[in-house]
Amino acid sequence: MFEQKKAADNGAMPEASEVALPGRRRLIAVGAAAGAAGLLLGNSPIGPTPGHADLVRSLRNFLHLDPIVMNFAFEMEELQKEFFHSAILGSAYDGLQGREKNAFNLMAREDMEHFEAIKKLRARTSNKNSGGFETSNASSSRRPRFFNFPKDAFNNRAKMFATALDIKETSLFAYHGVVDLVHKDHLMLAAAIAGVEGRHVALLRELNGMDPIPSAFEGSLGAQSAGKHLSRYGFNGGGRDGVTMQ
Amino acid sequence: MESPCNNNVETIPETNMEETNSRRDTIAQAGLVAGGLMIGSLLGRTKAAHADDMMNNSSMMMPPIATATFGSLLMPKSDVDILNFALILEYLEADFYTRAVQAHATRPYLIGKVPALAQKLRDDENAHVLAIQQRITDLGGTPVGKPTFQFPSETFISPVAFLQFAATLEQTGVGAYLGAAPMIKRGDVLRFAASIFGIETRHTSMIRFAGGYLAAPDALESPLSLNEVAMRVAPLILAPAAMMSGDTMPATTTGAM
Repeated sequence: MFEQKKAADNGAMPEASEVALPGRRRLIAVGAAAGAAGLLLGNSPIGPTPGHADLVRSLRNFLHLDPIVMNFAFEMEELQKEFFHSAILGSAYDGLQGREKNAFNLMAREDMEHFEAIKKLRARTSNKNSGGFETSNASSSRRPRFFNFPKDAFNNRAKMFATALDIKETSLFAYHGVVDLVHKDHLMLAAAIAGVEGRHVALLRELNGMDPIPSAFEGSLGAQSAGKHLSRYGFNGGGRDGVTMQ
Repeated sequence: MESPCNNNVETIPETNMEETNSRRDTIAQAGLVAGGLMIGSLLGRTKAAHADDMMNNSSMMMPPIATATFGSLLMPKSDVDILNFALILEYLEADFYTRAVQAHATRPYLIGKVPALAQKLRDDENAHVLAIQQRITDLGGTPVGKPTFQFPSETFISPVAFLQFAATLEQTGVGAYLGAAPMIKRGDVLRFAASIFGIETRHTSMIRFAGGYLAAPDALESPLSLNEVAMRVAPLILAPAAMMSGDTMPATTTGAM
């Protein structure tokens, strides 16, 4: 359906990537932790035993995954910010109805705020702890544009909505997939953002004539799956050079 | 006709208002003067509240009905306690939408897509109740009983009052889940709670959208402390479950972890 462009040839300079080499190693660690958690948790309807939960918690505490997860979130918000910013400049936007224009403007603004909020926390974390967010030299203002979007994404209403929803839903499910890998401030920020992403998704679905709340429980997606899916847009937090988060 | 409630509640765009001069509508709108203030004071969320005050609100005067209902759940010792706290909120939401759907069936007052939305939200909240009860049992705990609730009568007569009340109720639920998140010990319980939190945010979005409000007025959700939540829902509790069943205290449970 969408243009399948590999992250490796999306035009980004590898050295400017959010995921620097040490980060990649840690992504693998996240993958191991998440994979282990998945194995331990399984698909049992009654969930894991307390002993399993202890083990998973120890694992995530030991690996200190917060910075890596937040880097992943940081790039997801950057992707969304870029998409909605481009969307409101595209020709398809002009043909939208008032409520639809309001929605796209709202999302462009709030995704920018999400991006800035993570950046702020990232700076604070870096100051407090040298083991904080990765690639502190990759300030947003100097980051090269490496995202790419499907042809017609900004001049065709249906394509624009489909792409918006794909990016939003994948990001939302990714937040829910990593919620138990982060703690305290990182957890609070990730959850506070995820909540608003949920609102955005419902709104987009409603405006697109779809059921805004198709299930009583929010879906989740492993970071590997989410990263791989978003890589079609040039997202590299989970898929660049074959490195995945889970 | 200009609504007399416009000075007290957010204005709903005219496209979402039913133009009627019926006596019932007039009474309903007049009731919003008091109702809007009541709802606002019961469930109003101040921007000043912040995560920092989540764990320490000892200066607040907790209404006896809240203490009787929530009891030691206000100082949760386990994930089961937190789930039981959430269960009371889900009971509240489920009860509200059930009554609204019944009221509409008896005497239609909701307009446009709102009746279907109310049914959807009722079903979701009931699903949340069942799921939380199950999860508590799985963890070795005992689900608390359902308190008896009361709601402003105009919410079952006026579509505006319904939407406004539902929006504040959902927002309170969202804040409660977010505020409780850092207290949850088990990863699987956190994911479970997050999956409900996510749907509550969608509910809030759609209720607000149906009312003509911004679906997402802030870029970040705001947390509420357990005490804040209890204070806000206290006026909606007519009787705690324990009192109704003849027990002496609200069920506080232990269970795993």
